Amino acid sequence: MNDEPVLVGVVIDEQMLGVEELACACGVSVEWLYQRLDAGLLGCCSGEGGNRRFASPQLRRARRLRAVEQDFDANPELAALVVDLLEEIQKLRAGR
Amino acid sequence: MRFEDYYQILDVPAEADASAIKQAYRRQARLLHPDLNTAADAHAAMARINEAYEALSDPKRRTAYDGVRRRHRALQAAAADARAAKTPGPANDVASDWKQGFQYDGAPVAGRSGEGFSEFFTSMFGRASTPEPADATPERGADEHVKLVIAAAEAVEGAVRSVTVRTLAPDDKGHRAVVVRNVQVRIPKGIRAGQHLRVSGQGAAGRGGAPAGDLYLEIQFKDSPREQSRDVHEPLPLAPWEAALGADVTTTTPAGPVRVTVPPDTPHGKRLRLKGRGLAGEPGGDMVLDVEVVLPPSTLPGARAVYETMAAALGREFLPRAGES
Repeated sequence: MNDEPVLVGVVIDEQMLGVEELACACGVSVEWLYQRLDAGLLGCCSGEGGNRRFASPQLRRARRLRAVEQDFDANPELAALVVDLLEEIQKLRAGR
Repeated sequence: MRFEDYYQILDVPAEADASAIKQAYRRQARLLHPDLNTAADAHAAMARINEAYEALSDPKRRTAYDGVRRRHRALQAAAADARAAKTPGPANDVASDWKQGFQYDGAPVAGRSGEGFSEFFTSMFGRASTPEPADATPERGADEHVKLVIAAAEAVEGAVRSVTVRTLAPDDKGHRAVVVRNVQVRIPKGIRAGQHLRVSGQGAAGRGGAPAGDLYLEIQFKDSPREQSRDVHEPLPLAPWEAALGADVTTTTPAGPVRVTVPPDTPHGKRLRLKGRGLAGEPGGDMVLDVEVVLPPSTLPGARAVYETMAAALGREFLPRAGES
C-alpha cells in the first residue's frame, strides 16, 4: 500500500491563470506574453489588461508558440500560423 | 548505462559547427514532431533528438560531452584490438570509467517539458558541480509539465494516479540536481482530455528560500483522439438478428448501465447517440455507441445450416456489392 499523501490539484479551467502565472507556466517573461497577447496571437481570454485570465487552451497554445519560436527561430506570427495549423489538424482528427 | 552518440542521433559529423547542428536538429524535429508524426515511437524519438540538441547546442556541455565521446571511442578501439589479439582488454562499456577527467560546471538540466533525459545525459549534466550558496538570490522554482494519459473511465469516476516527476532540487550534499519523485494525485471526476490540472508546489525547488514551482498535468485519454469533448465513444457489438430485428440491449455509460433500444435494420457502423449520458458537466456529453454487427462463425453448431438457408432464400435478392447480379 502506498503511504504517500494524495495531492489534490485544481483544474485550471475552473480557477484560471493570471498573466504572471501563465508566463511562469510557459517559462517565458511577462513581456513576451504581453507582446503576443497584444498582437492577438494567443487567442481569446477573459478579462482585460492585467486582469486577463487564461484556461487550458491558452496554456497549451502559449507553450506551443514558445516551442516553435525556440526550436525553429520562428518569428511570432509564423509560429502562430504553425500553431493554428496544428490546432486545425487536432480538430480534424478529433472529428474522425 | 548505454553510451549515446549525439552526433549520430542528429546525423551530423563530430566537427559540425553550431549552425549545422541547429539545422540538423530542426530537420529532425520537423519530421518527428509528435503533433504531426503519429508513429507510436514519435515521442521517444523526439525526446532523443531534444536530448542530443540540448547536449550539443550548449558550448560547455558539448566540450564536456566531446571528452567523454573521445574516451568512449578509445575504449572501443582498445577492446576491438584486444579481441583481435585474443587477449583480455579493457571494458568497452563507457560506464566503467567515462567520468575520468570529465568536467562540467554549467547549470544542471532536468529535461524538456517533463519528458526526462536518459540516465547517460543525467549522469553528465543533471547535477551542479558546486553546492548551492546559502545566500542565493531568492527565485521561485520552475513549473513542470507532465502529460498524463488516463482511461475515460478514470475521468468518469475520478481516480488516484501515481505520477513520476523529474525536477531540480538540492540533493543531500546541497548540489542542485535532477530528482525523480513519484507523487499521488487525485484525478477529479469529469475532467476532460486537454484540460490541465495544477498541483501547487510540486515543480522544481525554489532558490534562497523562495517557493517551489507548480506541477501541471495535461490530461489525455487513452486511445481517444476526441479531445475537448465530453462525449464518450464505445463500440456496441450486436448479433445479426439483434441488428436486423431490433432489440433491447444493456450497455454501460458513465452514469451507470442503461437499456438501449436498437431499431430494426440497424446497419453495421451506425452510431447511436444517447443524449446526456456521456461525461458530466455543463453541458453534459453524450454516450456514442458505434454498432458492430458480429457474425457467428459458421463452425458454431447449427450456424452453417442457418447461413445455407439464408443463402438459398435471399441469395438472388440480397446483393451486398453494387454492380453484381
